[in-house]
Amino acid sequence: MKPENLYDAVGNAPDRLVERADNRLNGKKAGGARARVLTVLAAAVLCTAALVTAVLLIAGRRDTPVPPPVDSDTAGTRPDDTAEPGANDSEAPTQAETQDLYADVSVKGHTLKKTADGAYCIKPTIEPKKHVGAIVVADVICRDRDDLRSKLLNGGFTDADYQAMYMWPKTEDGILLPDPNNLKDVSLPDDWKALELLLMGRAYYYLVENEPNTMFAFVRIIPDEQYQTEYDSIKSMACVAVTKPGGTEEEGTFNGIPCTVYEYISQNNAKKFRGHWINLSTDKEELYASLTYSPESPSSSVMLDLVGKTEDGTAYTISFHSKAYPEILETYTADFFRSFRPVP
Amino acid sequence: MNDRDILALYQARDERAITETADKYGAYCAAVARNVLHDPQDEEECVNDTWLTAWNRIPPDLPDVLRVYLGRLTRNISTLRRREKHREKRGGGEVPAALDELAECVDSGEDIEADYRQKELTEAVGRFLSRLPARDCDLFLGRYWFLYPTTELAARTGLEENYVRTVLSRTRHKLRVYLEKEKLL
Repeated sequence: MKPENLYDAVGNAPDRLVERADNRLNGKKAGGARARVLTVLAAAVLCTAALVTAVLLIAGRRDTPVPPPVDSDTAGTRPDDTAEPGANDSEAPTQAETQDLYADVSVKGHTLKKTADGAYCIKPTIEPKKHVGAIVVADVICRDRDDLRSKLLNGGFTDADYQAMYMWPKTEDGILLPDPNNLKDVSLPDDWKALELLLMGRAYYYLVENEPNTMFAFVRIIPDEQYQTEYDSIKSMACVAVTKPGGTEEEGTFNGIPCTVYEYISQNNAKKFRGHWINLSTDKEELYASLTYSPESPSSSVMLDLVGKTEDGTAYTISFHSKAYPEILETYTADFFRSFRPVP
Repeated sequence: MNDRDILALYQARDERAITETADKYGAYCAAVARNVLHDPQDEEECVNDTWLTAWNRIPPDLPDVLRVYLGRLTRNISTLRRREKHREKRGGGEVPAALDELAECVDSGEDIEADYRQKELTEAVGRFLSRLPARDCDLFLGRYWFLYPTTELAARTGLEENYVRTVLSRTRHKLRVYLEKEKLL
């Protein structure tokens, strides 16, 4: 046998393996361990930005004066907290309830359609796998903060932008990942461990749509092998954004943090649905989650809780909680968040 | 345009399929060709050949993952181009020509056996790769499918280069053991 034979044999490796390698190698550019951490941070900070921005956007629309950003001393406490829905399996949404969430949602004339496996997509033709492409390529639309801000303030995205979402990451003319070098001023807070786990490997956040009361964001999660077994067991995932609600939704606590959770998301109501994370899809290699978020109060504590359900229905909870948010707000990105506040 | 729509154009024999494919995957296929050829002119020609080949093969081919399909075409076409060029360098074009002419005199049974063994080898390599840990497999394909230098592999994965080299070395060793076990060496 000649080396050429082996070369040719490798060249005919199974598609799925080549695709995975392609995703890993061409879907990310990093410069080492630091860049890896920064990439995770980029995702985390951007994700946080969307959520807190949503808080501030709502704040800007309230008739009453806008309260200051979350106070770290008071964040996470409410006198009427009564339950612990995030940690309690029995409180997790049933499959039927979760499915109810997957009603089509119309956003600025674009319909988010559900796919067969419950994944959301922006157009009905898109496939679950391709949806991941949509997530990733959304970064083309928001190459940097200024662009993101501009798009937010000027009404979101065009049809052409949505078309662009279908493109898988390019390797030459479009680096689709947040540039870690633009986030030199951030470091990983200690209490982000859960988030770190959640986002371990590669996680990208992309904002794809904004409405006055709603942020649509997507997180792509590719766990490291270290966590692969845990992720493998998760067959579906519900992501819940927890806020201090201003409406009639039930409230509870999770780790002492006020939340409004499953009762809320179990309602088959598009408007209700908007306020919460939902699950997209999982497979053995990757987990995907999307969120929609419309917090009711800027002074609310923000907790994000991912609940995975195994095939036998056992709930599996991963959470990263709100303690980090005030720190981020104050330390890292306060100006960034505030800059999104609409002009009255 | 999404892949499904592009494939529909191929199915309908609509030539926009080529332009849409080139728009969407031109940069990607050029990168694949570049790693094989390191010659801008050859790259461009190979990428164009990729579009033509795709046009000729779809249908009946119906790729599950268009990106991978096109990447594979580009790699194969670029590899052939590279081998041709190397042959020309060695023998001024006459040696391979002579070999081709003499091939008519040789029993074609060898080709059939070689094809069979190549097929076996391909299947064995596929099985081997499938059993590797995901990261090791990705690195292996990154080096030997995408032909990235180890420095670039390290940069793209966030791993240390020495670590990448070690993983590749161990994987090559494992592959050798596997192929020996499969009686392919």
